[in-house]
Amino acid sequence: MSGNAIEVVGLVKHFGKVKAVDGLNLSVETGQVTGFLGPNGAGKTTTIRVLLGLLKANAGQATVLGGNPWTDAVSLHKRLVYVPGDVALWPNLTGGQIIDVLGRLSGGITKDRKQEMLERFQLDPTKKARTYSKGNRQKVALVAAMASRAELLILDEPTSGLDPLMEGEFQKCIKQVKAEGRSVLLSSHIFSEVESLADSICIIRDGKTIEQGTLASMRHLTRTQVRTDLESGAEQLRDLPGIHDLAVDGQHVSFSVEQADLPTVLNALADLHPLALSANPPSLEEIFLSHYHTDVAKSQGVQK
Amino acid sequence: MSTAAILEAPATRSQRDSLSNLGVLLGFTWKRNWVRLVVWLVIVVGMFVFIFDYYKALFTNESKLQSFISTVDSPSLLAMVGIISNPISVVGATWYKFWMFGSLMLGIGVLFLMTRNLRGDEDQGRAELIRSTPLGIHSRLASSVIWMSVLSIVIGILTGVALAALTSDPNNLQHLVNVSSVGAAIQGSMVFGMSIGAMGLLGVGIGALTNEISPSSSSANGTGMAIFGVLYIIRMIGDVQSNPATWVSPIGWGQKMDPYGADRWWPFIMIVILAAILVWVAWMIQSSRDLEDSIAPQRKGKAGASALITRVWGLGMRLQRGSFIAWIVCLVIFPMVLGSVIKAIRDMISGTTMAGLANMADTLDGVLGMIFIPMLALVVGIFAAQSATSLRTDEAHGVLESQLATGVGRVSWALQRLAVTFVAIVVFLLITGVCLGASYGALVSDMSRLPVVIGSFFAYLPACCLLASIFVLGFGWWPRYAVSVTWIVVVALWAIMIVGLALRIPSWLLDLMPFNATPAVPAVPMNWTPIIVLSLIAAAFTVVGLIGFRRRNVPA
Repeated sequence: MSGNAIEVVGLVKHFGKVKAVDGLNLSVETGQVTGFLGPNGAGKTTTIRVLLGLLKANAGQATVLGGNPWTDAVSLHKRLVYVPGDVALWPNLTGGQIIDVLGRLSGGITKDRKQEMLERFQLDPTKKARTYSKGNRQKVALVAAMASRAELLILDEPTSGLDPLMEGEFQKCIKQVKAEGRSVLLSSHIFSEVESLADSICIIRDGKTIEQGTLASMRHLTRTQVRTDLESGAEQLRDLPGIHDLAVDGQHVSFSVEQADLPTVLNALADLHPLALSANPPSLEEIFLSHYHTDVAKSQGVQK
Repeated sequence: MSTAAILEAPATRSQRDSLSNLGVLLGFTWKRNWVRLVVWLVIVVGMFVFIFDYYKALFTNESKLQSFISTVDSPSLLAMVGIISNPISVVGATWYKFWMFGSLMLGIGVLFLMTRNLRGDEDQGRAELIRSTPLGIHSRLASSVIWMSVLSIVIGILTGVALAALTSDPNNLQHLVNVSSVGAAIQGSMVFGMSIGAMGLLGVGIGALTNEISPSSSSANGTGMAIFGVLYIIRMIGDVQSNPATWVSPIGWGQKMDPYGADRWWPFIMIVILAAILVWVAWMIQSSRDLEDSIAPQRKGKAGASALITRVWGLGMRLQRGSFIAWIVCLVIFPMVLGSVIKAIRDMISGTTMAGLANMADTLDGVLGMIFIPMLALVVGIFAAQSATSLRTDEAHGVLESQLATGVGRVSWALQRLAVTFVAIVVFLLITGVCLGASYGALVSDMSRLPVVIGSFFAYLPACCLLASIFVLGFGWWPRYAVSVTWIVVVALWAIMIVGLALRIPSWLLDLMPFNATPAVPAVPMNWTPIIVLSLIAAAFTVVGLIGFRRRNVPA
């Protein structure tokens, strides 16, 4: 069977009158890392809770590892692990005890793996959970998840509160997971993390998917930012197709250009003998923000 | 197989009703709760044995026992504790003294333990983590139900066995249990023990249900306590009027197991069946509900704060709004119902010619002053403690830091929040006094006692404030233990009020307890000395607590 690890079509979940998720689509290909992006309150955590069978969808279909997350929760949970973004622990138990409880429930955490992950994430397992900082609580859930061999990892802002060293360790772990052919759904606000890990990215807004695809395909639809220094002829660029936001400040010229028109524009630019040139494809952050700003503009329009 | 086909494939047998990994969770629940379980076991069994032993030593002969039973065999005590049909024995005296209190304490304790493990874990977000593992949807509920049922049944069996061992003395059977054979003593003891365990099982059923239908752990506990309160009053009405209302309440079923008399087992079976039905309903709700959700709907709130709640005291009021409403409902309903109980007691007194009933607790002012007013005032005292502990709730939830990081000083913050508690105590005492006085006055067509009843409630104002101030003292100096110590004090005061001398506490020490020190007006004349002393102690505790709060680390 060659299905996707996660397949969500037209998912709807509302709490009373509040629609948290409203027709969302998402897929995670087996063996790949899918980044899951959206502003706060867009419905990421709600979607993840539906995928875990903690919430019941009102409409639409969600499939996890070929099963129904609501009815098949128990058997699916044997094959996946979850790291919440805000880890709550039992204050009277130690981190090590909690990892063992989660491990026993999940099945398949060996002592060696646990020890390895404790060392990699530098977590002291003998401290009571009430004394852990936010980052250390996060590490408890991460160690339990990373020590398992689950087919699918569902991670909801898993590195919030971690220091940059641990963030690096986390990225190494995820690359190993991917190398082993396992699948990951990674919800995150850290663009560099998603850019370096994700094969595919899903951006949502107001509970709806606005874009899903590879970073390359998203760039294809957006503009590259070009900065150049020209002695003359900057105004000629204005007539070229696909050029936007042209700004001329003495020698310094900057503009953005549609991906499809980039070759033509670069040819024209070459004829003007630029003194300096830099062309940056849009970063994930810029792609995300361009979607987000549209959203802000739209909602302001509604308010008027 | 295409993705579309997977999506459209009908779900096969649902795993929602699964108990997988129950074994692991049973171990985990034990690990988290074993200290509490053992403490409950020792306290409940120990108290029954202790009180039996005390009465055995106290009532050395038949006439002492007779005179005790005649003093407690009054309508007001009947209302408080219920009766068994064969009370004239040491075991009968033990029942009078502790059955109602001890078994309801167990029932409510079980309710709280259920909530700690169920809604409590959902409130704190821990359930989410553990439910992401291959844990059956019902395993958490089942694990709590199993442990709390085991606790209840083991307490029942051990109490029964202990009483059987203590009473099956062939030479002293009549005095100890007033039955004719050792066999009957053993049987009665087991019925006695299991009637206590039955109240624990009732707590399992009520706890399972309220944890499923309530949006938070405090509301699960509150709803459960209110259910216990209603069941208690229903049986009270039935007992006082000797009508079948006793049989409407499962607490009444426990009484009607009637140890050493009818020795009925079938009311026990009824309680087991009722608990099983409640657990089943909880189970069905759990199958279809979202985690951390309840059947109560979520609504949108206001986009901004009113001027009121931008002040510290206004915020304190807003945070406790739901709790205030729940308390007011209880403090209106309970006195209203008690009014009719008092009327029934009055009718019994006026209809009786027995000299034995003419003791002080059976004059109307005696019934009000000795029993009902202190009981309701202590309920307000429980509110006072709960309301004061909201200071620590803010700190434990991490929202105290952000408030203190603004322009408000520590002492000012604490005083404003405590002022809310103080005003609420005053209002609640007034409400309770008006409701009890009015409902009683209306029933006997004599409103002249209304101001006396209201005034009597206000005699307890310093005692209620003292409970709050005990918390403030702890909050200032030992913040991590303040809440639990406050509740231990409240429970101890309640226990002392009910069990009193049987704890072998010297009477001078008993008289120092705030609710005992307060003059039991209108049963006795007003005495201002204890009122003033209690007020000064409450003020001193508050001041010392605030000094500690000003000096300590936040959060601690």
